[in-house]
Amino acid sequence: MKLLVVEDDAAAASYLRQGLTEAGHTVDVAHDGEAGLHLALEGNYDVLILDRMLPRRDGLAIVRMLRADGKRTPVLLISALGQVDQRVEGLRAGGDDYLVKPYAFSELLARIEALARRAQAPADDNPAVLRVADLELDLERRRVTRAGRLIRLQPRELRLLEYLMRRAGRVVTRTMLLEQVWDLHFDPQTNVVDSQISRLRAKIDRDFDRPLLHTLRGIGYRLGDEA
Amino acid sequence: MRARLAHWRQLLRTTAIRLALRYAVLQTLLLAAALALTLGLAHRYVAGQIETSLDNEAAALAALPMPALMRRLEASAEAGGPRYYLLTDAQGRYLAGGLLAWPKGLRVDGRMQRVAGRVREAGEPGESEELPLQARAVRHASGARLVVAQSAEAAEALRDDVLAAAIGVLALTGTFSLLLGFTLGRQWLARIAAINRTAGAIAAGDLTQRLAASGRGDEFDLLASHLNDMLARIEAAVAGMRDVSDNVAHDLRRPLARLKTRIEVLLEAPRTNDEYRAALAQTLADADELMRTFEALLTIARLEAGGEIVAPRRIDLAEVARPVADLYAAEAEDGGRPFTVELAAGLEVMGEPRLVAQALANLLDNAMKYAGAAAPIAVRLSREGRQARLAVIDGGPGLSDADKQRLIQRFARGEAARSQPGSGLGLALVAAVARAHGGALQLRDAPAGGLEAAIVLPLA
Repeated sequence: MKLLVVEDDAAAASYLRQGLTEAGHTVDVAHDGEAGLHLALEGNYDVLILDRMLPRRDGLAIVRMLRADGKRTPVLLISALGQVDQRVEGLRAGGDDYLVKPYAFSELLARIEALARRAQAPADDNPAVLRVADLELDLERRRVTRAGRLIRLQPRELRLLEYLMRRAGRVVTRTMLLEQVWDLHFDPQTNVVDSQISRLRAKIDRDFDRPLLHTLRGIGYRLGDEA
Repeated sequence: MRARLAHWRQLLRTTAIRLALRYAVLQTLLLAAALALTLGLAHRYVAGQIETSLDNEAAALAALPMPALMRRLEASAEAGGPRYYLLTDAQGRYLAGGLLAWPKGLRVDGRMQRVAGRVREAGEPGESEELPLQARAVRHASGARLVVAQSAEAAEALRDDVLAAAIGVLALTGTFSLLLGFTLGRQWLARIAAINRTAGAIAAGDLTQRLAASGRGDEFDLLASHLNDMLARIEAAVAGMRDVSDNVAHDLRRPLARLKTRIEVLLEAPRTNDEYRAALAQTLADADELMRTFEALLTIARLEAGGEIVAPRRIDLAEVARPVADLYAAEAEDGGRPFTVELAAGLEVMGEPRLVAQALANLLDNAMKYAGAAAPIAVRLSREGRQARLAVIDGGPGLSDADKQRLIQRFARGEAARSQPGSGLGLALVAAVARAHGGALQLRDAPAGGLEAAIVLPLA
């Protein structure tokens, strides 16, 4: 993927470039808002990663100008401002996701991929049935089957599975799950998410040969055919 | 001397004094105008009365035949003032009367005039001094001329007395207004000076200063009470910020020192790749823990400073609590502990749902950690009068009364964060969230012997 990082902290920008390049992406870096806006308007990027507070033009202003210009490129805002209303303000300005500093690099990577996929495949966003290998989720009847066998899930487990299936093959972090499935915006101390995942895994994987729900240690989870 | 001058100059600049001065001047002018009008009218009235009376008498006398007139004038001259008469022939020679000479400037058949003249008083020899007279001169049928005059002495003395009295009254009122204005102004100035002194001390950094109220409940007291409320709020906010720096120092310095030492030891000697990896992984975990501590401290500080709940919303507590309870249910049941959830519907409070959710999660974290591996945990939302009670009840060993007391007191005093990261910090956050919502954290013995930790919030 082709990414643009607009970050005025030179050290942080350099780590980001290194990390994202090692993850297989092509990365451009701008160090102030003016240069960032220029690149974002000219270049053809898959995802923009904008620091919220920038010299010469702040991140929110860049998003607003891009959106006013008709550019739909997904934007991930990064900020040291983590209060609820600031997050809301960032998303209202046209940002697609909001990450608070300091964040885990794996979290950033997962969110960038999620944003890119969302932008690439808007056509079939609401299928009636989600399928991953032989696992099926009938969204209208709220029914889950694997290899034709009915699996009973609690409502919250169903939401968790739906979220994972919509992002099949991609890494999903604990924080993403907490935000999207439970609407919680903090990090509980105990391994509550792991427990939820093991419980779901017990229902969809235990009686079958091929495991579908994988844990990536220290990063998150992935639902998919291959390990 | 110079200081006194400056004081007076300042006094003159005061709004109260300026108002008092303006008021005194205006009042004096108005009073003077009123008095002048009254005096003028009275003068005109008296003069009119005299003129009519003189006219009538002159007409009556002029109608008398000459001999009768002479006799009448001689008789009245013997009787004396305040009326005086003069009869002269056509050439102006004295014929009869108590008025001895034709008053200078008096015209015949004109209107009444004010003139001066010498008279002969009854029983007194010779002529008098010149008297002020109101006089009227007419022609007699015989060609003689007749003057009827009245002494204006009494009327003018009265006018002078009234004028003097009026001026006295004016001077008195003016002085009194000025004095009143100055006194009031000085009182105002004194109270404002007190406020200014306190404000100066506050500006110099002493936020504990408060404005003194006179107890009269007047507008100055109202102002002082509003300013004091504001000061209390600012002091709390500043104290909150100071607390946060203290707490940050306390809670972050130790783990940072540990982290630093580990890295230093690691760099002391050559290590294998695996050793580096293990140390880095441990360092990352420590950094995460530091971050969590930092976030919690920051949230507590913002709550204490009153800045976190920007726009409170009406929230249904059951809807906020359910996902959190759901989230913890799996882990609790995996560990084989009974986990029950009872949420009363329709209990609404004003607040920030994410904070309430986090507070509940912290209570559940604590219960999981300290109640023992198999101890049952219950989440219960219930109504208690005009309050909602969101409780986490565990079947663990509980806390001694002294410990409960100590924890609650510490939070009440705002030393919230100064405790062991992981346990007390979580509870401190719960206390701060409860307080920010107008409620409180309560710790009490559960019926079955464990601890019941509850957030009690006022219903919306």
